[in-house]
Amino acid sequence: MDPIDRKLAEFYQQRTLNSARLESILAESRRQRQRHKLPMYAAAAALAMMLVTVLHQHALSNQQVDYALREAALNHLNKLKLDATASSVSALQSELPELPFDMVLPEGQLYEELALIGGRYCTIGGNLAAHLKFSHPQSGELFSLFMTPKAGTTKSLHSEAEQVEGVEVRLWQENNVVYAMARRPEIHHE
Amino acid sequence: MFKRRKTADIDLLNAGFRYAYSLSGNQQDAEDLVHDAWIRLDRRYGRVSEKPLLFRTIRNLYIDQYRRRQVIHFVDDYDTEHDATYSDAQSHESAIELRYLDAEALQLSLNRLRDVEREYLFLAVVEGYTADEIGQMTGTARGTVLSILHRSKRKLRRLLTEESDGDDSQPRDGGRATVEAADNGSVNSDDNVVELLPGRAG
Repeated sequence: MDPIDRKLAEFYQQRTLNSARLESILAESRRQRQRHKLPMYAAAAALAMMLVTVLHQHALSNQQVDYALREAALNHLNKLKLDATASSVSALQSELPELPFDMVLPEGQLYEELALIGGRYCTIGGNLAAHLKFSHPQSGELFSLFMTPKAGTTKSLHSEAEQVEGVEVRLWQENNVVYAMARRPEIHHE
Repeated sequence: MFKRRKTADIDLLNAGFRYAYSLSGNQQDAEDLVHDAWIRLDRRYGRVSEKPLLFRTIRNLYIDQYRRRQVIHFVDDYDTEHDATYSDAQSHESAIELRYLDAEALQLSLNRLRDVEREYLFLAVVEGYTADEIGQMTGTARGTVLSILHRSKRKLRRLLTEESDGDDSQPRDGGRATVEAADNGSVNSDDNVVELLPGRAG
């Protein structure tokens, strides 16, 4: 190697930033990175919170649905005394004056074919509900229809059907009313 | 892991500082240049990890800063005058002895080189870049790079010979004044002229 080249290399190799300046640059760099990352962290935290909230609500909602399905099945199975007997919904409405809502049958042919026996007060998902009992004129199969107004903050409910304790229960929502229908197909007579 | 990263950052910062030093010829400007370039890259990319990018940013900053206040001679103006001026350098080469090549003498001589000469010498000799690579980095033709390298080496030899011989034609005081001026922030010893390349690289 050329002696001048060697000396030149040595000369420049000896040139280094002093430690104070180095620290100052690295500290400014760190501060800048943190400033850059702050909105990213905030966005990530917001997203995580949103996710947790959604998952929590979803879990809660699933729990509530499971609970309501179970309540409907047990109410159908328990042969609790009816609070009133009536052959029409309007007659039953007047027999159950404590109900804070008007009973409306859900859409569908089924309810036109069924014969209303009567009804009672009950709760579904912690809300006061009406429990209407029907029987099928030909088969004698018993049906329980539960209805309660949809709570304001409850998310929209998709149709859920499940077998609980041998009872086929379907839970759905129609015109801001939550309905549950329970039947036990193999038992046609109580 | 953080320690390793910090060490890598320090190495890169020092490499950038040396390059900035080769451009500006003084400690203060070199510190400011590498500082500004580092923060600028950090802001843009979140992390500085490539030496060529750091060098390019330092170079562009240097050109920007000094373009504002100084006359720039482009490499295209690098004419044969220099050849004539330093044509006698070869005859003095044998006079150069290592013992004279102390840091102070080298510093004085380097400060009497043009910016572009110091820069190319640094990139070739210290960083080991080829003429092709230097050409790519600086947007200069390979032939021009080779020519500048050749002439700047001869010039440096001649200057060092003068230093070692105590040549009165290039007074030592003048040289020291140059260093002092450079340390005080002026760019070059002569005429506030910065000689740079035809265009910004990168």
